[in-house]
Amino acid sequence: METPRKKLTNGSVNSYSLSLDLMIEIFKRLPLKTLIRSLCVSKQWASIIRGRYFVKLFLNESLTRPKSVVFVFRKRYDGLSYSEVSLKIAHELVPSSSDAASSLATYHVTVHTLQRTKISPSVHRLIRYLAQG
Amino acid sequence: MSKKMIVLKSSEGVSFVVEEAVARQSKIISFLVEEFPDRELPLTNMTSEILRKTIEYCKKHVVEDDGGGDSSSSSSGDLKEWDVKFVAEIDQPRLMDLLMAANYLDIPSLLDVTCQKVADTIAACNDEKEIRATFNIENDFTEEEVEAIRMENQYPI
Repeated sequence: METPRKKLTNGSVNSYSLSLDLMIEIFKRLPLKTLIRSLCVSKQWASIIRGRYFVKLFLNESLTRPKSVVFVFRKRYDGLSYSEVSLKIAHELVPSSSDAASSLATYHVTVHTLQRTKISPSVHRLIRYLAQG
Repeated sequence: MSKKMIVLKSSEGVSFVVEEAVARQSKIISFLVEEFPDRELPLTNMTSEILRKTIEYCKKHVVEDDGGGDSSSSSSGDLKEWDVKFVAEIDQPRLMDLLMAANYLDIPSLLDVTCQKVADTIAACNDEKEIRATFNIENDFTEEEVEAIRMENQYPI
């Protein structure tokens, strides 16, 4: 007695069922770890997640979650390759200024490097440094 | 007291009679009933099943909204709990249909809970293979391409 399922979906999250804006609505709610994993799902997913619009949106979205630290690595290639690191820290992380809980700190750091930048122990130290300062 | 009722018609032609206040949680319906009063609204891309679910959600929320000021903080907590249960009971294909219905009818709170549920489902997957299997997505990457993405995006810990 079940009517045949509509052609709209098969429960799949792809361009045939969900529009781009709905996929973005879903992706922006993902934890960063899952988002990175999702890059490997399909070319369409990867292109949405890597898109400039989505990256910006996700960064802002992340800042509204408590205790979020987000790194955005923008790669530029002009002779030497280097990465521009933009680091935003939600103020909840900073104990000394907990009164300004809703305000945000933004740090722009430019890292010159010939190698691919990885999240390394030195970055963890940087976070600790910023959190103490 | 008699309340104003309106008729919503599913893709199968089944009519659902609902209180206007319930249906008005959809911004689209809210607009339509003002423009075309006393007419039934055909929702040709919504199955009866999904329309019934959508109405169930709207009914619950209109009742809670009526509560008004003082009890709102505790009832909004109950409502959140109800929402979680509501989407937890729906299987994957129907959840996607409901999400699209929420988008089509413009019901922001329903869109929010359905999107969150899909996001939670993706997050609960152990790897990209499980995500593909869950959502019925074809893998259009080669093994090498997947490996390259992994190398580029190693997650700490």
